[in-house]
Amino acid sequence: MKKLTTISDYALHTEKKREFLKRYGVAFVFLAPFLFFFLLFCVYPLFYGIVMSLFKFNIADYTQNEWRGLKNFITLLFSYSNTYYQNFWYSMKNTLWFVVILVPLAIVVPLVMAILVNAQPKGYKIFRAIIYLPSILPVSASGVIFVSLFGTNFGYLNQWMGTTIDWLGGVETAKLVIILLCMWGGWGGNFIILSAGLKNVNKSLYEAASVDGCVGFRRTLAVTLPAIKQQLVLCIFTTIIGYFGLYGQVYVLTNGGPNIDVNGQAYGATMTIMWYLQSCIQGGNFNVYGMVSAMGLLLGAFIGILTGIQLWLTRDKKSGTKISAQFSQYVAEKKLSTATQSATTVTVNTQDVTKEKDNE
Amino acid sequence: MSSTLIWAIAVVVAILLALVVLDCVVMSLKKRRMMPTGKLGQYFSRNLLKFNAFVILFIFCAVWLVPLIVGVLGSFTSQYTFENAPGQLIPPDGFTFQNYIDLFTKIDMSTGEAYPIARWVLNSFIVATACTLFGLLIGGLAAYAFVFLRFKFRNVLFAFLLFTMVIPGVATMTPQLANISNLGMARSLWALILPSLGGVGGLYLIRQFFLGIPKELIESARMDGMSDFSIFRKIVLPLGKSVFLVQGLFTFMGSWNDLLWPQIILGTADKSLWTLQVGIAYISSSKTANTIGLGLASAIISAIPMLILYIITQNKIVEGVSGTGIKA
Repeated sequence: MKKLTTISDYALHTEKKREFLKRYGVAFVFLAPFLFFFLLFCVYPLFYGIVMSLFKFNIADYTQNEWRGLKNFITLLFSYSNTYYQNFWYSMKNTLWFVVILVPLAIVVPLVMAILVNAQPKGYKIFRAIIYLPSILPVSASGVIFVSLFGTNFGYLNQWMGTTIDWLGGVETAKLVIILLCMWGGWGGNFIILSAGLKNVNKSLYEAASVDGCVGFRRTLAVTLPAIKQQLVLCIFTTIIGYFGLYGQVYVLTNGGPNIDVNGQAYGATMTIMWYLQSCIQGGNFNVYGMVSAMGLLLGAFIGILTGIQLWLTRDKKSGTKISAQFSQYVAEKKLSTATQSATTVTVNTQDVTKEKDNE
Repeated sequence: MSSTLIWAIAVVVAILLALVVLDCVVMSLKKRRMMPTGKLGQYFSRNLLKFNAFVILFIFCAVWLVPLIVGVLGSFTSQYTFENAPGQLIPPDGFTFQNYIDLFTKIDMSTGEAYPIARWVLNSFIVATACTLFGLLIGGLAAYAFVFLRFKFRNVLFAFLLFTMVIPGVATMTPQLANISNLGMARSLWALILPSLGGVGGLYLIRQFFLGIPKELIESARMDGMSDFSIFRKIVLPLGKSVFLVQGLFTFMGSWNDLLWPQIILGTADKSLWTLQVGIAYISSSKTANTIGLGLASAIISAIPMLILYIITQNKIVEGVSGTGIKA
C-alpha cells in the first residue's frame, strides 16, 4: 500500500513537471508567431526610432551617420529660424485645427445617427447600411469623387450653384472640403461601435427610467449616454489618434496646397503633420531620417500624453479602474463558476456584471 | 444657382419644418390628453420618435448618397461632357464606357506604356488577402493563449500590448521604413503584409470575444482529452465565426484602402509594384477636366470589391461588433 502511494506521488510529481512543460510549450507555440511580428514590427522600431533621432541618419549609406545627440530635438523645439522648426510647428498647428473641429463632429454626428437608427424606424437596416457605406470606400476613391464635386470648371457643385468658386485653391474652402470628405468617408467606424453599444444597452434600464417618468430627450442624456460611456471613450480615443494622422484626404484633395506666404516663408495651407513627414521622406534627401524620427517621436509623445489625459479624465471615477476591473473579473468568475450556463451561450452580458456589482 | 438645387433645399427645409410643427402639435395634444383616438392618432402617439427618426434619417441618407451617385454616373460620363457641358448628372451625349476602356489602354505620359491597372488590382488583392488570413490566424492563436491558457505574466504581457496601442503609428513610421530596408524588404509586397501581422487591435477585438466563451466548455473539452490545437480548431474557431468575420472585414478594408504606407514603401520608380490606391492617387492627381472621368472610373473599380464584401456582410457587422462587447 505504502509503495503504491509513493509511486503515485512520484507519478504526480512527474505529471506536474510534464504538465508545466506542456502548458508553457503550448502557450509558447500559440503566442510565438504573434510575438515575433509584434516585437519585430512594433517594439523594435520604437527603440530604433529613438536611436535614429539621435543621429543625422542617412538611410542610403549608414557610414555617413553623424552623432547629433539631442540636437534634433533642440532644433525642433527651440530654433525659430530653422525650416524644420517652422514647417513642423506650422503643420502641427494645422493638424490641431483639424482635430479640434473634426473630433467633436465625428463623435456627435455618429452618436445622433446611431440613436436614431436604434429607435428602429421602418427600414432602419437600409439606413444603417447607407450611413456606413462611404466609410468602406478607399480614401483615394472618395477623394476623386470629391474632386469631381468640387472642381472649379468641371465640378458638379459649381455648375449646380452657378458659381465659379475655386474650392480647392482657396485656403478656407480647401479646409472646408477636407472636413466634408473626412465627415463623409470617415466616421463609419464610430457609428458602428456606437450602434453596437446601443444595441447592448439593457432594455430594463429604459423600462426603469420610464417608470420613473424619465422619457424622451432626458432619457437619452441620463440613461443612454452613461450606458454607452465606454464605447464613447473608445471612439474619442481612436478618433483623436486617427485625426492626428490625417493624411489621405489632404493628399488626394489638395496635396498640402494651396501655398500661402507667412512672414516671407511659403507654407502649404492645408499641410498636416503626416503630410509633412511624408513629404520629407519622399523628398529625396537621404539625410533627413534622423530629423523625421525626432518629429515622429515628438508627435507620438504629444498624442500619448493627450490620450493619457483623456483616458484619465474618463476613467471610472467611483472606485478607480484597476480595482473595479479586478472586481468585475472576480464577479464574472464567481458567476461563471456558480451559474449553470448552457454550453452554447457565448456572450457574457456586461450589464449583468455591473448590475451584480451594484447589488452587492 | 440652378433651380433644381433651390428646389431640393426648399423641399428639405419644408419637410423639416413640417416635422417640427407635427411634433409640437402631437406633444401638446398628448399633454392635454386630447390625442385623437383614430388609427393615425394612435400611430403618432406611440411612434412619434420612430417617425421623427425615419424622416431625419431619410433626408440624411439622401444627402449622403449624392457623392456616390455623382461618382458612379460621372465615371460613365464622357470627357467631352466634362470639358464642354459639365455639371450634368445625365450627360447630353449619353452614358459611355470610354473611361473604363481608356483606363486600361491609355498611355501614361511618363513611361510611355499603358497603366498596369490589372497588376495593381492583383497586388492589392494579394496584400489584402494575405494580411487578412495570416492576421486572423496569428491574432486568433494569440488571443486563444491570452484567454484560455494559463501562464505566468499573462496579464502583464497583455497590459503591455494594450499600452503600445497608445503609441501612434506616426512615431514609428520612419524607423519602420529603415527597419524594413534593413531586412531587405523595401520595394516589395512583403513590406505591406508582414508589419500588419503584429497589430494589437485585431488581437484585442478577438480576445474580447473569446472572453465571452464559457470556460467550462474548454475545460470539459480538455477533460475529454482534446489537445489545445483541436480545441482551437473545432470549438473556438466555429464559435468565433462572427468576430473573425468582422475583424477579417476590417483588416481587408484597412489593407485594401491604405494609401500612405504603400506610397512610402513602394516608391515611384517601378509602377508595376504599386497597389491600386497608389495608382488611383497618381492618376487623379492632376485634377483637370480631361482626367477626371478616368479618375472616377478607377475609383469605382477600386470600390467594387469593397462594395461586394460590404453587401454580403453588412447585416452581420453590427451584430459582430456588439458580440465582442467592445469597450475601452
